[in-house]
Amino acid sequence: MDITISEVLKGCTPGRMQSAGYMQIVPLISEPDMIDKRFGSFKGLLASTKRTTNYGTLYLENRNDFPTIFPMGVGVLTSAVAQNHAYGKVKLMTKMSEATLPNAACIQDSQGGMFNSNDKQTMTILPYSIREKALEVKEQNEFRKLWPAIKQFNSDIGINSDYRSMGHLEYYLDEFADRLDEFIGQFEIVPNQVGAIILLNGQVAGIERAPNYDFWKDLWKPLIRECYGSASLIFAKKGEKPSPPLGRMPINDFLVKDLASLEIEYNKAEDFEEDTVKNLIRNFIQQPFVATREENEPNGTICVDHLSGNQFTGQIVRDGAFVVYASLIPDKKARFNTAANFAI
Amino acid sequence: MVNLPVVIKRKFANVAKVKDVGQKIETCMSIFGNDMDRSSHYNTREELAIKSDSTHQNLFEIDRSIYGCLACLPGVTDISKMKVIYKLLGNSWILNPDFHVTTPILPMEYERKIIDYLLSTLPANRMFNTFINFIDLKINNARTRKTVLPFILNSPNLAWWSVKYRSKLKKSLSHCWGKKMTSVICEIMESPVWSSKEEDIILTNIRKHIVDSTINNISHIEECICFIFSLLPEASYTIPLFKTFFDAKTDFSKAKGLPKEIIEGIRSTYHPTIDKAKTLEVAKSSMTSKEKRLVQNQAVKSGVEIEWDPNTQPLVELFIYGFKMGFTPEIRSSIAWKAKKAASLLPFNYNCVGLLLDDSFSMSGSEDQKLKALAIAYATIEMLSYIGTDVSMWTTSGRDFHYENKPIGHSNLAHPLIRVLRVDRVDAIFVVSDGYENASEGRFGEVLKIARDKCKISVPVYHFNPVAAAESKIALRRLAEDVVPTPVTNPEKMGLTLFKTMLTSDPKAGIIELFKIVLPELEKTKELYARKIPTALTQGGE
Repeated sequence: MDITISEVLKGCTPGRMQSAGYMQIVPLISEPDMIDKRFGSFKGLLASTKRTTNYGTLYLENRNDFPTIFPMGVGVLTSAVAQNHAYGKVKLMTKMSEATLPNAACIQDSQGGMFNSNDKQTMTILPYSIREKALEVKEQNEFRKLWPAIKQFNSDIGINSDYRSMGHLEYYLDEFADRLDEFIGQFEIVPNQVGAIILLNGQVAGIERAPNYDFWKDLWKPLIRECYGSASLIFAKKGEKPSPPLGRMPINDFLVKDLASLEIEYNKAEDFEEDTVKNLIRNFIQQPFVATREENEPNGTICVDHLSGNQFTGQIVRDGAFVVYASLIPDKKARFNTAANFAI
Repeated sequence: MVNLPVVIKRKFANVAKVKDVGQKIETCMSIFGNDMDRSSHYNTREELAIKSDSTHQNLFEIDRSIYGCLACLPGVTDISKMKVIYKLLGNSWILNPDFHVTTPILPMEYERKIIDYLLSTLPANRMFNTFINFIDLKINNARTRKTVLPFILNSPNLAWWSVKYRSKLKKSLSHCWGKKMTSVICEIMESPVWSSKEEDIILTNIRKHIVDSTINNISHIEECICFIFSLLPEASYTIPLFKTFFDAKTDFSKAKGLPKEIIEGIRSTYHPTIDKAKTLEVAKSSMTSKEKRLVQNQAVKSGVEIEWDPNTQPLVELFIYGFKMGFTPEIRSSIAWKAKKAASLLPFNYNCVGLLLDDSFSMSGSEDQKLKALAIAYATIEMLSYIGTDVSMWTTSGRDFHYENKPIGHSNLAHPLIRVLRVDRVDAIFVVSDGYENASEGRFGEVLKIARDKCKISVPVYHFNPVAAAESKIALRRLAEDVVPTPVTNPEKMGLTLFKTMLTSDPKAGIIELFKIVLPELEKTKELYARKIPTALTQGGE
């Protein structure tokens, strides 16, 4: 079955682009009657590995009277002396349900031990490059599958050299906590926001959608701070100068003679930026994806699909035709397939 | 007689780089205004302590009078005041023949006034912590004893402190007297009859420091000392508060009038079966205004009505209270009164003022101090709204300013700036923002530059950045090249911040202005002991 980004984002309108440093965010604002309030916070999910006794298998429990979605690429960090785990895919959790996720990955390579659902836990979204890898190897049943990606990431971002050779994700979260706080401080949730199109250095880096505002608010910090923030920090580490924000239009000061004309020129510049963003979105929203069914709600209409397309890949949760959750990221392989052949 | 302008001119005549002195003072003032003895976003607590200590030392070496007077300005944190007291008392006053460089500007007796003033502005718990820290810092010279003992013994609150801060008082007094002398004094106080030698010991160590030497007052103070050191049988005490303290151990209903913490301690130790909510009911008559404000939420839940006076509370705290409990007409009127009063102390007086409030989502503040940043922002705006006769206010959200508004949306500061600039005859623009501009980044500076270059707009623009605390996780951000962000933690005490601006441009004039502001305040400090007639000061020209 084919689906387009236009259909994935049906019911949303783009908001005013926010721009700081290497990143721009176009908020996706939901039309009032398109909000799905059935879905509650994923933060209430209880995770454990003790129940499974296998590294690389995660056990999830939803003790709430509402369904929720375990977002794409979640890492579960525990304060217990136990191996942190991550899961590359989306998992639909119906109300009062439990699930065993066999293809999870360890994200703390030299740490042994299993954690319990009552151990203190934090849910993060994996750093951008690791999340990409986690989605790519989502079906691999190998608990060490993300260690090389984590080591590469730690090296790219410049973790303290003592820890660089270790597949530990928590070093990034600890060492860069302050910079990530500062990074997230630059962006803001707007009213009725349920998602965002995220651009990194002028390129679309992700399309994210949540069922409702409260879900988005919970997703905001781990997603923007820890996932997309990591990519921004790597750009900074490489020392690349930030590209001017997409469509950034300076005010034409040649035409400014007084404050009235300054306001006119300011409005023109703002309108130009708005149009640029709209054009960018228009350019890719009709691109088709092939949807592969991953999961069906038992005795229900909600399902999880994996999407593959020319430029993007990712997963969505939908109820019939209505998409309630989406997470799409550029597909490295797809980019290679569609690239022009070498020629001089 | 000391002619201040002349002394200042002489003192700094040989300093080649007066600007350097100004910079050192400015650095020290930043520390004074922000030092909370906590870790920050970038540094550990220990790293900051080292930086703070060296900054204190740098200014102390320039002049201990300037150093002490700076700490008397409004807006200095309690921790900084404590550090200044340690420094002043821990370093002896040595007059040096090299008058121009090392001799302090003010005579010695003024330093005692500075120390008294600093101590009197500290909350009681901080004051006792200061005294106790003298132990670790090994500060126990005659000047210290002459500061601590009169402060404790002449306080009208001594009985109250004896109950509430019993062990802190015990440590402070013991440090002043020394271990051996303390046990001697205790032995004497326990005994009903004193020899003449014992009388002399008590005179030297206690009575000499008491200003009101009436028999009643002396016996009151000595009974407090007995209570602090547990020297008498419980039944012997006559001060009502002490009797209440002992009675409450057997009958909890008699605890009324004791400090809240003591009541709770007695309840949990001697009456564990009594419900905790009962503590509030019994303690409400003796709670401070701050305590009453802080327990309002708990009181409502427990069904206990506790009256408090909002006019006694800081402006920022009134906003925090309002966010939690609602803005009643009483709270609104207190906010207006306090804001107006604070505005009258600022060195600004404009006809038409433009205010730009950033009420975007990021103004929600950090997780641990969620309401604080917003409360500082609203309190600052409220106060600034009283500094002009005509005020034009704009917000980034486009909403009218209401206390109940929660931060919302993105930060577009450029468009409201244009709107403010277009207001006729605006004399000054004040921006209250965290400095995070994202729609679009840099547009505010761009608009202001074009307005200055092309429209010849020269109106001053001030940027106040609400900082929830010194541990603010975010460094101050500049909105435009020529707009310096000024951190605000307490809008009622912006004296330090504004004085800093003055010092940067002209250090000598700034120092003279510093003494003009501080010296009258020092004179208001209550005289605690007989002093020599202080050296007269003049602030006239040469």
